Amino acid sequence: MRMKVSISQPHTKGFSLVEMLVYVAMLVVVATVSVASLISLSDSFQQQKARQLVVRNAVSVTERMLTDIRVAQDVDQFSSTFQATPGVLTLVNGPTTTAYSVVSGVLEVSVENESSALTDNAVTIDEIIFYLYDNTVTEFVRMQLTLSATAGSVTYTETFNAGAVLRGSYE
Amino acid sequence: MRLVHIKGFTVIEILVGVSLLALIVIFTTHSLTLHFASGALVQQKTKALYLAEEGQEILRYLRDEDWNAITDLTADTQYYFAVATSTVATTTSLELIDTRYTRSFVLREAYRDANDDLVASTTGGSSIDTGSYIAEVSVVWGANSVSLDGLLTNVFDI
Repeated sequence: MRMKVSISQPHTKGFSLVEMLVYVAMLVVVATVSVASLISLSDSFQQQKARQLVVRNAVSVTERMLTDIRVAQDVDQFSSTFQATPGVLTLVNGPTTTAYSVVSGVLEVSVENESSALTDNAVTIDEIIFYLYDNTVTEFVRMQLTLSATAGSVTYTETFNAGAVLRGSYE
Repeated sequence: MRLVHIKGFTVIEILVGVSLLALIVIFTTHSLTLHFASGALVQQKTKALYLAEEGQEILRYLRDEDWNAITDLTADTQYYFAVATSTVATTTSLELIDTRYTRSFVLREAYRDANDDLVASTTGGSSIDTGSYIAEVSVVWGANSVSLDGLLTNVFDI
């Protein structure tokens, strides 16, 4: 009796080796696809985070500087560094002197020798180059700003160009 | 027999469950892809708009130097900027920025009515203002573009 039961039952209960192989193979495929897409999703999120940081800081810095350049009367060429990085831009507007410079990767503005940071610590200013154009009637300042931000394992770097004519320089 | 039917899932139940899950995954992935793509587009447009704004400022600077620099150009013709480290000029050769962004500009005749207001060229009774141009600076990259319009006027009457 025992022999009969043990011989006839094994085929209905449990899984065969082939079945197990198929299931494990399917599980491996599904797990690989899910893990791969999760990793790429996480990379995309980090990329997005870093990009947002770079764009947000670039916009706030550029708007601030373009506004200051537009209202400025003159550029203090002796206290400025042009065509080289890290550049320094010193603007003169009546009695007020406004200087922009990079201190260990952070863009700082100095109004009447009172310094304050314009970019947050999450971004680094890799390069800032100023260019001055003077046609004896007006002055025009261009800038090239390269920022980078790191989120997790992703580093995002972008360069922005902007420029404005000094409205106060009209003679 | 009854017990077997109550326990576990039927093929249809599993199919419905898997399809629902697949739909949710597809929709989520699709909206996330759109989210990332729009983030990238925001960055590109920001960069392109600053380039276009800079283009308008370059034209203003050239206008201030010599109004003839503007009138020497042909209206409705595409020009580019030649930006060097201490001089800027207009040119007919392509300006490619960061190997991706093409910046160009077109000058259009400015039409004014009897009240000196800017109007469309098709407006009856309008005439060309010889002391003004409408400058259209465009930045094109891939299938995207931004464009900024500005009025250039011979303020110094040179």
